[in-house]
Amino acid sequence: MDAAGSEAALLARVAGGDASAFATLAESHGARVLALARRMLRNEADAQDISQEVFIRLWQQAGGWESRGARLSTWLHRVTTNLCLNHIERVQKRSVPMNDAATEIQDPAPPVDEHLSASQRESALHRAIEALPTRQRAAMALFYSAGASTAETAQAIGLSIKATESLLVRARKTLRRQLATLEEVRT
Amino acid sequence: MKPETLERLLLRHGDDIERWPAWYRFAARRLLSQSTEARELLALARREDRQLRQAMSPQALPPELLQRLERIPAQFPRPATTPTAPSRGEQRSLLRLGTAWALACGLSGVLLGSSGWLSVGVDDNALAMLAFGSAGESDISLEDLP
Repeated sequence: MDAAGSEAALLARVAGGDASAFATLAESHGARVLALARRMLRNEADAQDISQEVFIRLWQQAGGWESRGARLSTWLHRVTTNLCLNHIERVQKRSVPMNDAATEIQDPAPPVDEHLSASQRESALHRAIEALPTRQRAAMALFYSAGASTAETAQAIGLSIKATESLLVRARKTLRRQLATLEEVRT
Repeated sequence: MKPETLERLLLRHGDDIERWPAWYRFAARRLLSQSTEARELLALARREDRQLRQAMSPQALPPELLQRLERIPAQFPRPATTPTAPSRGEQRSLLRLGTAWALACGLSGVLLGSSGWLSVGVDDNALAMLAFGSAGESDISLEDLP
């Protein structure tokens, strides 16, 4: 049985109330769901809560699952993205209004004369990723962390493929610029 | 295809040419076989994308979250399933029962009404007050409604 077939079989068992099949799915998809939530929310506790919510929905809605050619991971990523965006909106309404530009790190690049260790370069890159606007972060996490195609990324974010490509281009430009700066510092 | 186009496509689709749309893939392969500049651009994009993948690679699930996920089936029961439509025989029985119940209620109402037991002493003024209310005394405004 191929991967899609075995996943469909697992889902059918979950729909029938099989808790061990559910645990298998949670284990195989949980890390990617959490990685996406972490990237979008930048808060570990919130990311874990959202991940749990995603799997509660999977458990409660497995009976109505109809693949129609879609992969379970695409559905999981879409639910994760929507829950994260709703969460961000709620938090922003509660607190002082802030936009992504306001949270952007002023200059994630270190001073040029400073010699950087590998871990410093890594954390500079992480800071640059976290400084991206929410949807760009989501698109990058789906593409690079979840291994989604551009079409799957678009489906998960709820945008057209063109709009998603545009998000990815802007994010890559920013991060490649950052990587080039870090590379210059190293040499 | 020119190297500048390849550079734009690397930004749009990433470094994995195998995942590109077929036409671009074909043109890019041809350019790469002919141009050193194109090969350098691809090498640079691969190096950068590898770093991005590393930075964003998912980490293992924390054990406490895995336990939370495994407890979901026990902690979050599924909502009741949607009731299925009654069969024709069931529909006929329900119709007979409903008709009998409606007749019984109607008859009881007529009997109680004619005996005068249902009078509660509400006069027309009190009914008018209830119908129009008093704006100044109302505790609930339209804004309070969900």
